[in-house]
Amino acid sequence: MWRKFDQLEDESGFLPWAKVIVRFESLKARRTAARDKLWFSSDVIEIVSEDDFETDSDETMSLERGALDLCLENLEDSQRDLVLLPYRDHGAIVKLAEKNKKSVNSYYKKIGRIREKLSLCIEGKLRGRLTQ
Amino acid sequence: MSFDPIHFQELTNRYLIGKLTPAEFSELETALRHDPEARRIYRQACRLDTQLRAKAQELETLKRRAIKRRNLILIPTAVAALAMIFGGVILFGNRGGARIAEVSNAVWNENNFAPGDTLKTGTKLDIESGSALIAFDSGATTLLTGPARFQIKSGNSGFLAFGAADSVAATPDSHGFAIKMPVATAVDIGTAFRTRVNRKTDSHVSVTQGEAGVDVGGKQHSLLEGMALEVKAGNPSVIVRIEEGDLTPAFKFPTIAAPSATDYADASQAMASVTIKGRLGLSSQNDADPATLNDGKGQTNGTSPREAFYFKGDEIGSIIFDLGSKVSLSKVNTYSWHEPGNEATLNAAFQSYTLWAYHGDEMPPVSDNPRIDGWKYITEINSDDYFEIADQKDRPRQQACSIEGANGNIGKYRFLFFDVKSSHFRNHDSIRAYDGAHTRFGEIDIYVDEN
Repeated sequence: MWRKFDQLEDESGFLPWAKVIVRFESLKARRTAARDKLWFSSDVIEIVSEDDFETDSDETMSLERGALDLCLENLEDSQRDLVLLPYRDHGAIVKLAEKNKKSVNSYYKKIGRIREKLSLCIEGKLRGRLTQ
Repeated sequence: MSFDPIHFQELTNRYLIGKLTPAEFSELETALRHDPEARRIYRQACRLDTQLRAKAQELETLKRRAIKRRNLILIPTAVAALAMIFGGVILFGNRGGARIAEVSNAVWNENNFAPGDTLKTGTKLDIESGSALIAFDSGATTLLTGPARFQIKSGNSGFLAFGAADSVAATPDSHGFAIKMPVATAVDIGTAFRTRVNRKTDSHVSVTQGEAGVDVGGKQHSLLEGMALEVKAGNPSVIVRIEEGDLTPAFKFPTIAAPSATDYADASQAMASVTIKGRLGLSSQNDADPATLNDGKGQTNGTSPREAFYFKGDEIGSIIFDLGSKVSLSKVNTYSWHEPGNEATLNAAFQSYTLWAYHGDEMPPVSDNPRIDGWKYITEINSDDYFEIADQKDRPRQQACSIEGANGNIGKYRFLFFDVKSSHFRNHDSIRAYDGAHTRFGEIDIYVDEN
């Protein structure tokens, strides 16, 4: 039990939770979207979180984490800072938009594009690893 | 319309950061419901979200450490030397910890702590009464209410040995904040939660905001806002959930299934039989038949004694299930419902019993000493303790209790013995005892692992 507890405290300790992450994220996003009355019905949450967990294994998470580190290195500093900003400080995007007199949406669009770039990069790296 | 993965990925990313129009959301949900590729992309985006959060946290930690190092270099040499003489505590002794933020009427058993005191990793706090607010380096806070014993494990975790602790982990750095308990660990996933440990080391987690994960011997359980579970110490350890129902004949609960007509012990399955016995030698039979306990349904209303089973007056009683042969027990659910006529009447939806089991074909005697008679202790249930009920009128009027093995099955047994306690509220004499004062059980469901 202590071994497990210690695992949770270090960086790789995040991994044992891989199989519940999708469900948590979906429910969290559902709550965020609740203001706009946009939330998934329960059956969709169940399908999404239960379906095909082979690919959501701890090993996949570990590989993706390694690939993410490499892909973040490939980004420009400003892009890297921007994509991580929402996780560092809640409300940081709004503050940034106000400071630079730009719309919040424009920043969210930028973040979306960087995330897509990261997803493709991670996928490419994992594919490359599999074909090696 | 053909599926466009790039477009779907954009929708997903925007959904996760809360920026979708209703029309786009509908498009997203439809794709998720019908397209496996959409679900694959969605899951990948969720994982990316989680990993970006972890990465941001890691970078923040590194940044904070770098600032600390820089500040330390600026400490005048004489001060640094002095610190080293005193065991290097100032420079090297604290690898993350916490501090006391506030205290209120605190009476300490050993060391006294005051606001501003630094709590290094390993510091033990033993508070007899009052409360103390602990602020962790990560930004998480824990309110310790006496009597309680607590130890700082790191700048983002603690160990609750006994008592109650209310934690809030709202900062990015505190993501993953953990409260370890003797038989479980509660881990924050953006949440506020309450943890409790009793003298038997049973460990209780309830989520007041957001969601939390609970690790029980390596198995993870998710809890959303309003949910709770208790891990009972024992061999085997079991997980107990007690929930309040919707007060309808449907017996709907947040996570516990409604009474079942297909469980192993249901009369329709013809596998098990149920008998009752008054432990004090008094009549234990009420107007209803104990067969109501495995008829596949609860009561149709909360004032229907004929549809419930309960013991008379001050009787203590036993409910015994014979499962016909030794089977691998996976879950036991008990259901109760009672709408008391007025505040002076006992709310008899309260559940209080000790569950015992026996594996052999010859049932041991049912006496005041089940352990000596050969029964195996499974767990003890008390829904007042579970819900922290301070006044009996606050008892949930419809309750379900679910008992499962913490790591697999409860065990292989043939007989189950529910040693039912009185439903009097903490021996409160002013509450009138009367026939039918005991817990009104509507149904008991027993599930087995067929493998």
